[in-house]
Amino acid sequence: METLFLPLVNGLTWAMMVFLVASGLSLVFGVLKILNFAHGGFFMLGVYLTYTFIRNHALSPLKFFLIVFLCGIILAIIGAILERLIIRRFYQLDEAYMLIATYALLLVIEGSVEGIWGLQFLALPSPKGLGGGTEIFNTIIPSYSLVIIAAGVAVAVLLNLLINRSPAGKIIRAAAGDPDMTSALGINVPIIYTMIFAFGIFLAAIGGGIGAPNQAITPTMASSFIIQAFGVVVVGGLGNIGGAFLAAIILGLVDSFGTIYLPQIPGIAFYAAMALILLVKPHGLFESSISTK
Amino acid sequence: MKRGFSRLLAALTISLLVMVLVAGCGGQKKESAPSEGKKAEGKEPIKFGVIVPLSGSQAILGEEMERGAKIAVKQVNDAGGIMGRPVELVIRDTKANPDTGVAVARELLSQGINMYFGVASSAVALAVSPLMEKEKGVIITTAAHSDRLTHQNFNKHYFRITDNPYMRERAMAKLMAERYPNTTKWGCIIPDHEYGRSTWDNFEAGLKKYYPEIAKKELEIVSVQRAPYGATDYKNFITAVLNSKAKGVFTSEYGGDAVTMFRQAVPYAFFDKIDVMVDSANEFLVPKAMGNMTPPHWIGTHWYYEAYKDSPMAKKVYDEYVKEYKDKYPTGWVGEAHSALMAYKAAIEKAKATDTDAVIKALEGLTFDSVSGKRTIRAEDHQTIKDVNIIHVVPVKEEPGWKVDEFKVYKGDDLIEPPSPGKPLKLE
Amino acid sequence: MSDIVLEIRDIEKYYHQFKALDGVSLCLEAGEIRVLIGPNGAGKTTLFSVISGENLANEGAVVYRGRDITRQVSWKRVQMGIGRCFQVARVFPDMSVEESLYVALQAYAGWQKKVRVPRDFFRPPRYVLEKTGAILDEIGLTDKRNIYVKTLSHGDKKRLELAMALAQEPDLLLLDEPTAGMSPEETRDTVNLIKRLHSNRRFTVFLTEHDMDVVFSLADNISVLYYGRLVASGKPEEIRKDPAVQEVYLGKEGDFDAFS
Repeated sequence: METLFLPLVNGLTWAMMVFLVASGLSLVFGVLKILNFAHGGFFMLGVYLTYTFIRNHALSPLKFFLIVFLCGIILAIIGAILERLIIRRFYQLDEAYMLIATYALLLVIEGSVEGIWGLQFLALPSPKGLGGGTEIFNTIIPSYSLVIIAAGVAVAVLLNLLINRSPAGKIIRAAAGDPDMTSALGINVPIIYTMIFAFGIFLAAIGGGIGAPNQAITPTMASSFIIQAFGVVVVGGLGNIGGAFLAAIILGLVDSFGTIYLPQIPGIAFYAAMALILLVKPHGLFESSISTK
Repeated sequence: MKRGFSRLLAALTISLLVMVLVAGCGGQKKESAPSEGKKAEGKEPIKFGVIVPLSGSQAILGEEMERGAKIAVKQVNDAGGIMGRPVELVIRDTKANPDTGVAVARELLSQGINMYFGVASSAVALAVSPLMEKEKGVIITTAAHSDRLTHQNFNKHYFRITDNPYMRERAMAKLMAERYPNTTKWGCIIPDHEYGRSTWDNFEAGLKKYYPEIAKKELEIVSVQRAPYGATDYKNFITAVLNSKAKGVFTSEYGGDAVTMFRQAVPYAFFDKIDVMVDSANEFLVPKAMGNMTPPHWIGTHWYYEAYKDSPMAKKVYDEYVKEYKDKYPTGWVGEAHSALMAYKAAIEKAKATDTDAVIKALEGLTFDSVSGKRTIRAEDHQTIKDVNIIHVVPVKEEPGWKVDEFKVYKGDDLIEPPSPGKPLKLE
Repeated sequence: MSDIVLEIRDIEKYYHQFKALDGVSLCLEAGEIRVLIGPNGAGKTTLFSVISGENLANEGAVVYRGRDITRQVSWKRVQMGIGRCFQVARVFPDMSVEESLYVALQAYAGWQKKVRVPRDFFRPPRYVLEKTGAILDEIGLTDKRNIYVKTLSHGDKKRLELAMALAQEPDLLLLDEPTAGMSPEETRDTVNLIKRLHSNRRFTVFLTEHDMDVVFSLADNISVLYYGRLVASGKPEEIRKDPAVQEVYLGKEGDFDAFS
C-alpha cells in the first residue's frame, strides 16, 4: 500500500502545481488565443512578492493565504496595465509578433527579479502548523502537499463554476468563440480581454505564492513548471481548462510512478506519455473550446 | 492605415523592450576600471580573460568568482601590479553553456588575450580546454569538478586551482568514518549526470576504504537515488532514502536544486531520522537560503575563511569582501578566483614573461601562497594540491539563523590520487 | 414632424487606394423602412459597417439621434440602439438556440445594469428567463428552442441572429441581405416577419436587397448605391421611373427586369 500511496500523493502534488500554472495559460489561450510566454515570469513574481511580504516568518495559514491572494491582485493589476499598453497592440498581427513580445516581457521580468532580489537562493517557511507531516495509511505525507492538492482542486472547481455555470462565463465563452458577434451584442469585448488576461496573471501569481514554500526561490524559476504547463495545456486540448486538469493528473502520476519504477530513464516518462497521448489524440484530450470537461 | 500604425507601434514597443532588457541585464560586457589599484599605472596592462556564468542557474557562482577576481586585482595593483604592470580583467558571461563559453573565449582569444581563469560548469570546461590548446591560450578553472579534465581530457593548456572530487569526497568520507563510526548504512540523492555520478563514485570509494580502516566496520550502501537534472520535486527520492533506513546521506545536488531538496525534506522530519547529512559542494548557498530552517549538516567547501584567519592574505581578502559587498559570508569561489590570479602572478614573475608556453612551464610544479595556505600545482596533470575545507552548519535563533559551529581541514597531499593524465581515473 | 434617426454626411471610405464610398449622404426618418439597392461591390456592406462601427469612415460624419458617433466603438453603438444582422449569419455554433438567446439577453441585461451579483451569478437573471420565451415566440423559433445552432437551416440561423439583435432592443436595425440564399417561401416568411416586427416594435429598418419583389413590398423609401456613390434616393415609384437608376442597371439581367 505504501509503495503506491506515496508516489500517488507526490504525483498529485506535483500535478496540482503544474495545473496551477497551466490554468492561467489555458484560460488566456482559450479566450484571447495567445500563448503568453511571460506566464512563468508572473508565476515567479508571485513567489518573490509573497516572499517579500513574509520573509522568514511562519505565519498563520489565514494570514499566509491572504498575502498570497493580495500578491495575486497586485500582479493582476500590473497584468491589466500590460494588456492595455502592450499586449493588445499585437492581437491583429501575426502570432509571431505576440510570441516575441511576450518573450521579451519574460526577459525583462527575469532581469528585474535578478536586479531587485539578487542572485542568492531563498526559501520560504511553511504556514504555521502546515510545515510538518501528516500520517495517512501509515505513511508520512508533508501536510503542505495536501494544501497544494486542495488548492489545485479548488481552482479547477471555481474555474469550472465560473466558465461553465455562470452567465458571465457564457459571455466569456461567447467572446472566446466569436468576438465580433459578441461585440454585436453590445458587449465591451476589449474589456473582457483585459480582465481575462489579468485573471490569467492572477492565477499564475497565486500558483507561485502557494507553491513558494515547496521549493527553492531562484531568479531562474520562471521556467520551473512552464514547460510542463505548456505540455499539459497542449495535451489537455488548447484552451480547455478541464482538459488541462486531467492532463496534469495523468502526466503527474506517470512522472511520479516513473521515477520509482523506471529509475534508469529519469524524467522520460512524462514526455513519453505526452507523445503517446498526442499520437492518439493530436488535438489533445478534449476539443479546444474554452470549457472544463 | 490603422493597421500600419499598429505595426509601427508594435515595432517600437518591441524595440523599447529589447533596449530595456539589454540595458537592464548589462551583465554581458564588463570591464574592470583601469584605475582600480593605485600604484600600477602608466605601463602596458596585463589582461586576463575571466569567463564565468553571470546569468542562469549558476549565476551566483559566477558572481562570487567575479568578486574574488576583482578583489585580487585591486590588491595586486595596489602593491604595484605584476612586474610593475597593472592587471586588467576582461569579464565575459558563459551562461554555463558550453557553446557560449567557447564563443566568448574565442572572442577574447582573437583580441590577443592568452591567460584565462574562471568557469564553474564542467561542461564548459571540457569544451574550452581543447580550445585553449588549439589557440595557444592557458586556463585555470576555479570550480569545474569533472575528473576528465585532468585525466582522459587532459591537455597542457589546462590547470585546475581547486581540489577535485577524488580529494574532496575522500576527505569527507574520511571525516565520516572518524566522526560517525556507527553509521554504517549510507544512501545518496544525486543529480543524474556526470558530475553527480562522479562525486558519488568517489565518495562511495572513500567510504569503502575508510570505514573498515578507521571505524573498523563494514559499510552498506542501501539507497542510491538519481534525480533527473532540473527536477522540481524530490519527494519520491527523499522517501525512498528514508524507507531504506539509511543513516548517513550524501548529496551532490547543487545550487537551487539542493535548496529545493533540503526544503522538501523538512516536513518528513528527514534530518531527525538520520545521523548525518553530507553536502558535497554548496558552500553557504543552502544556509543562506534557508536561514533558521537550515538542518545541521556538513558541507565541503573550496575555502573557509575562519580556518585561515591567522593568514594575512586570507584576512585581507575577507575584510575587503565584507567591506565591498556588505556580506559576512564569502563563499569558497571567492577564494578560488583569488588564488587563480595569485598563481598567475607567481608564475609570470618566475618566468618573467607572459606568453603561454612560458607561463605553462612556470605554473607546473609551482608552489605559491593563497588564501588557504600554500598550494602546489602538480606538474604531471596540472592538478593543485591544496587543503580540503569541510564545515558543519547548525540553525540558530539570531540572524542570519545559522552558523558554522565547527570545521575540519585536511591536507591535500594525503588525499590526492596518483596523476594519470590522458587516462581515466581509476577508483580502487 | 419628422424625426431624423440617422444622418450620414459626405462619408468617404478608402481601403488602401480603393475608394469604397465617395461622398455618401442620406437621412433616415424614425420608423421608416429604407431599402438600399445597388450592384454587388457597390459599397452597401461597407456603408453598413461605417454605420455600425465595424469600420470607421475616413471622411464625413455619422450622426445618430443628434449624436456624432463617427468614431465611436461598435459595441457602444449597439448599446446606443443600433442593431445589425450580417449577410452570413453570425451565430454561436456550439450553443443551443435558447443558450444563444440567453447570451444575447444577458448582454443586454448586463450593460443595462439589470444584473445583480451574486444572486445572478449562477442563474440568468429573471429578466433573461422571461424575455427568452417572448422573443422566441416573436421570431417563431419556440419549437426549435433546444436545437444546436450548427444544425439549424440557413433560414433559421438568420432568424436566430435577428432574435439576438432584437434582444438588444434596437432603435435602428441594419439588415444585410436578409433573404439571401432563401427559397421563395422562406423569403415570403422573412418579409412578413420583418413587417410584423416593424409594426410591433416601431423601430427604423435599413436593409439591403437584390430581390426586387422584396424591395418593393417592404420599402417606404429606396436609396441606390452605385460604386460608392449615392445615385438616387426617394419613394419607390420615383426610383422606378428615375432615368439615372435605369442607366445604372441597363444591361443587367435578373432582378432588374422590373425596370424594362
